[in-house]
Amino acid sequence: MNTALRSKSSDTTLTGLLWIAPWIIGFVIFLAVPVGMSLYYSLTEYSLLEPPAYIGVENYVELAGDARFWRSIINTAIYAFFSVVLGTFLAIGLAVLLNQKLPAIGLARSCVFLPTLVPLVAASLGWMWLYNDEFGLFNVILRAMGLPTPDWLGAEGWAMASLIIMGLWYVGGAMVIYLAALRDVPQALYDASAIDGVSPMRRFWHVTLPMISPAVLFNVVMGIIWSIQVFAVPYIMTKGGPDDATLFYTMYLYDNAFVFGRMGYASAMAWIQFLAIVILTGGMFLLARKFVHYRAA
Amino acid sequence: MKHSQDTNRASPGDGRAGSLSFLSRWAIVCGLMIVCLAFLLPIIWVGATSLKPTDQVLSTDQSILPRVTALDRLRQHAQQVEQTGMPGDADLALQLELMEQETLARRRAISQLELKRSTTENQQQSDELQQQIDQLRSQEHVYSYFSGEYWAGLWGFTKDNYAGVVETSQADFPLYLKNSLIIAILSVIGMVISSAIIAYGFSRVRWRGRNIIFGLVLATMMIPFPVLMAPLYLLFKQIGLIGTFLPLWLPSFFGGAFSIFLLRQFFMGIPRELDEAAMLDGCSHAGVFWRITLPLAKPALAVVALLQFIFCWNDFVGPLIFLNHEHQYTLALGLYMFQSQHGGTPWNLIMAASAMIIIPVLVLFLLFQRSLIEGIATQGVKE
Repeated sequence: MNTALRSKSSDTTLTGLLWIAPWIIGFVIFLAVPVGMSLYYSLTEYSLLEPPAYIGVENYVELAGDARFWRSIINTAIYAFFSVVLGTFLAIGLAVLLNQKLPAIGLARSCVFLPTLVPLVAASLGWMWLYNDEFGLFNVILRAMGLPTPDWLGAEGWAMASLIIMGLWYVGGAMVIYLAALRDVPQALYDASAIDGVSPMRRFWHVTLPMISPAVLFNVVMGIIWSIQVFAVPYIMTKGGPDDATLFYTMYLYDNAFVFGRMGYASAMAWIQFLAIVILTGGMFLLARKFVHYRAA
Repeated sequence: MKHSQDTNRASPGDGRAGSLSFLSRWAIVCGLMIVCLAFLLPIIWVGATSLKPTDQVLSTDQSILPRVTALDRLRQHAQQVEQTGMPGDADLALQLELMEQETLARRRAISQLELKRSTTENQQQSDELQQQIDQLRSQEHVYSYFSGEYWAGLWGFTKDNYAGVVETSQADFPLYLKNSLIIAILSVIGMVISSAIIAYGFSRVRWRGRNIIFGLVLATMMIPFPVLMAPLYLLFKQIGLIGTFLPLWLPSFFGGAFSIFLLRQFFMGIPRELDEAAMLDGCSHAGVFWRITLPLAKPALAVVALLQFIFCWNDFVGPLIFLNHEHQYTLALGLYMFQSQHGGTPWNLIMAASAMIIIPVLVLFLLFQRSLIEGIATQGVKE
């Protein structure tokens, strides 16, 4: 490395900070300040009509005894678990399938990816119509086949499953990331395993999976974060019903903030969610040290 | 299977391809077709429903393509006559009236038979009922897909549904479109300019601590919007911006983590010699940024612009929280309000409105799918 040239073209920290100043300002105004303020608000009774009144940890104490709060956590955990597990298997499976050299494979990739760009509202309405109890396509087909027709979004036992299925429709984003990771696996490794006579299953397990493990970690972390904050789709499709069967954490937070006008209570919920995401993400990265294989650059 | 085809191996980097037998190749092709169909089905169904008249939508006898019956054409004809303002044709009105009644009676009979069939347990009786239903259905005059009448009828349905949405008194979709475009364009401008400047600071300017702060930028990508929804609402409320468009586009002027990341990756790939040569010629950082980096980064800037546009166009939660007057609604929010007011009965109109907000995204995707998919895929290669 040419140190003379390097030091000559090196800049002061001030120059660097000036270039990224927009981000620093945005970070402070739109992230640090609101998050900090909400920590204070979480310790107050704040109805928007009156200025916040300090009440200590009372919101948190109330949350601990709030049955709907716990219900929303359980629902969110169920949703997150199934979405992440099923989504990971589906995304990796599709990526392997779509990594074949076949005619028009690009078209197939586009078909799987396309749903991720469809506006959430339009997608939710489209799926509501597919799930419609009486005239929806699913039940029309099931009825024609003489099978029982569940009330997809209206039955307590089905609403959660219906939302999880609909969520899998958005698997294309993760699939594209796996596809890029699969393409980066060195051909030499496959050649070596072919010479050793390794079966395709074992090859996938011992060669492919370790090589794409950074992508798995990234997608699983993002999947957990996204399913923990799921809001728009169930808000449009089920409104948390029937009978709180699909009341998710963010939805209950939204209700407290914007329907019941309890900003202090909602701020406490937001802080718990924030901490949960930090802890889960951190935990995943710690866990990943054991399983994720990073190639030396 | 794995050894024999080694000779016709596909291109390098494509590990599993080439080592497939003819049969498994076909099995995969069939599997892929099913996958494609499954993922496209909801979109196809939105489109198909948006072309149907109400009586075919609220029916247990659904078909992918809309059907055009003699009654539909007669209705459309009567409607046309009415619109021209000519004195009503008594014969036509009578004919229509008769046909409406006849069809209504037939459809009632069919639905009664269907109800009976669904409750019966006797297989033979069920088959007989099905026969009666089929016979009744065949009495209806349905035009073939290849006839001119069919396409004229389909065009009539399409016009009715889409014009019905644009002109509905329950929502002002042309205004929502204008609002969506204003917000999206301002947001795109802000995001491209600010993220390019910030990404330059993280890639072409050398300073101590830059990687640590960049790590912080990436960490903010992990914070989902709903966590910030209540705090941000309170912030904008205090500075009096709730009920304006500002909360929806102003933050874009301070960069977005993903855009910064994408542009930084791209800037890092530009040869450093270009900067250094320009600097030796007395160019400042601002000069290098403007004359060298930006012109070279046009494709990456386009991807950032595209992704930001789609994000704004699709955004629902932001407008839901920050806007409070009907005349400010964006298309996404307006569509939701349109559906929730109706409680969802005129599904053909709701699907037509949904199709109208999907189509622009679909067009953008078809035009730029390669760069869009590559842009998304870079997310995973951080380490």
